[in-house]
Amino acid sequence: MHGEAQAWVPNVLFGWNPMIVATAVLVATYAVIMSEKINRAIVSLVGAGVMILVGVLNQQAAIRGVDFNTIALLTGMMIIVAITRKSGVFQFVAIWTAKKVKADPAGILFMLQIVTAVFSALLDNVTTVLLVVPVTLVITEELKVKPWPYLVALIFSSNIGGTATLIGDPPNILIGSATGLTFNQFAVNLGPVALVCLVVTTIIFHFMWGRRLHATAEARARVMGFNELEAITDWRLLKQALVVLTLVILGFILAHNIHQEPGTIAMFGAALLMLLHNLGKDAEQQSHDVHHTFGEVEWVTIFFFIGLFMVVYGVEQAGFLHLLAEMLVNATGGDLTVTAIAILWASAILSAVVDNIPFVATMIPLIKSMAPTFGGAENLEPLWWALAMGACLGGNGTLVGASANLTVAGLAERAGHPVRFVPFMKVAFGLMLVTIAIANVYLYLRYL
Amino acid sequence: MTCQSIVAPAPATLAKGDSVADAIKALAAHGYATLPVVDAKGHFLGVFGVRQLLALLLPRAARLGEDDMPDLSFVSDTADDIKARLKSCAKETVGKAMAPHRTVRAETALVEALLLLERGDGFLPVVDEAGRLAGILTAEAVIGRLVEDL
Repeated sequence: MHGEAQAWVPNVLFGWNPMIVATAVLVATYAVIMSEKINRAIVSLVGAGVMILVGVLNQQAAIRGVDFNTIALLTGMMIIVAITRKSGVFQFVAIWTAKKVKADPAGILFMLQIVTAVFSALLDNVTTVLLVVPVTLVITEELKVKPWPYLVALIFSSNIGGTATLIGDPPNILIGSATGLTFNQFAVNLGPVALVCLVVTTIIFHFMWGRRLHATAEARARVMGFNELEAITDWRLLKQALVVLTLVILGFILAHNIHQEPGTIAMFGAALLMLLHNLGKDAEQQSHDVHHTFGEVEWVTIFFFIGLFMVVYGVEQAGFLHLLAEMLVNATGGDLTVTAIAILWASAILSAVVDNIPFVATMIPLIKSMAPTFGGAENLEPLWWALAMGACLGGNGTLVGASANLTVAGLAERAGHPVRFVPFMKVAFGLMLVTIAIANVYLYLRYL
Repeated sequence: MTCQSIVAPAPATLAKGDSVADAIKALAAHGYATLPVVDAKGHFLGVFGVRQLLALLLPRAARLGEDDMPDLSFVSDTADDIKARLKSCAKETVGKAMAPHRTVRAETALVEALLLLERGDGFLPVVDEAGRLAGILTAEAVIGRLVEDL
């Protein structure tokens, strides 16, 4: 992911050892990110700046470290969703499915998990929960049932759904972009395991909560009285957005055949949707709308990624990740099975307690440097799937394990239904381990 | 010019422990859209008024704000459903339903208070240096004072 140019040789202040300095910057950056005292975008940009100022990188080398395919993919999808959500289509789908199960609380619990998983596979997880949680809270209030089971189940299904595709979860975007693994390869290799995990967790949630959820006939009638068509606020925009989203997904599927990168496809889709959305508007209105759309891009995430890419590239250039990879290979005896399973479980446990994005960003060059040990880059595929499954599914383990979890908790708190760290972990950590056990069996049977 | 000469005494105050039902009665009795909430020592804590009352009439998800809950047109609640929602929270405390509110001091420049009234809901609690409620400013009172010589 970091380009092939290797012209820059670290030239650290006072002749200090580049590997030690770069590693110290990485550790300090991660420690401050984990402390959550300072916004993570600020931390990663400060870390990147220090890498350049002390001479581990220069500006050109730092920019080479940024994976612009990932940046374009994230930004493009954020723009597409920011415009699409205005049409009300996501609320429509949630209400429509709730009515399909006759507003039965257990049926709605099941259906919302399926809807969330599908949306999460095609969109970013945070976006998905931002779309599904508000309407879920309205439905549970009308049914007079506690929202807690629904909120926990939505977190799980969003992280599981996100595991299934290249664009579903940031770790997959990073891995796909760095390795050239395609949208279809992700879907074929991770789709089946995500589906099994989804089925298992929906069954567990049904026995744990769903079968005990009851609503009065009167309350169910209120939900059945919802008019899902009223949720669609702009039919013209809905049609435009669905056409563009379909084209973008088709583009991802055909990316390999049309020789295009996912970043180009997503960004072109975003530009196309903005064009359609602004056709016929006067210059002032266009300026206002485009400004508003760009304002909805999560710049904190984008700049966090940019800074992080630079910090990790600095450590990679200084040789520390290569050393770490050698240590990992020695520890696992150079055995692919042991290495893959170790990566799966370590990724899951770590992703449950720390942000999985910096972890995956660091693991990518580390795994890449194992290629000679395992007979070439083409033999590393099981390790990539192990990393993707561990990082994505591991995010379910605690409330801080994934950004989507914190987003759900934030929304729920604002609506007067706080989701606390310990009660969530009591339910989630064990269930996360169940999904990792499923992933372990899948990994072993299919690849090892 | 400062706010000093326009500050009016608060017509009534609410306590955190008052029930929502009592607060509604107080609003109606005094004809104000908003009343300040204070503690036993008179420190200003927040406000309860028509806006907070409207929030209690809506599904809780409406509290997520315009970006996350842009509309509720799909909900088909009847007037009875809405009344039932209000009734269910009539015994809730004002402390739970009140909202924070910006305040001014008597020494605040009048033009600054006008700006805050224009940007807010036409109501401003006035506090002293210790944060105790010293009175209120309403858009009506300020405008009334300014136009009386016209």
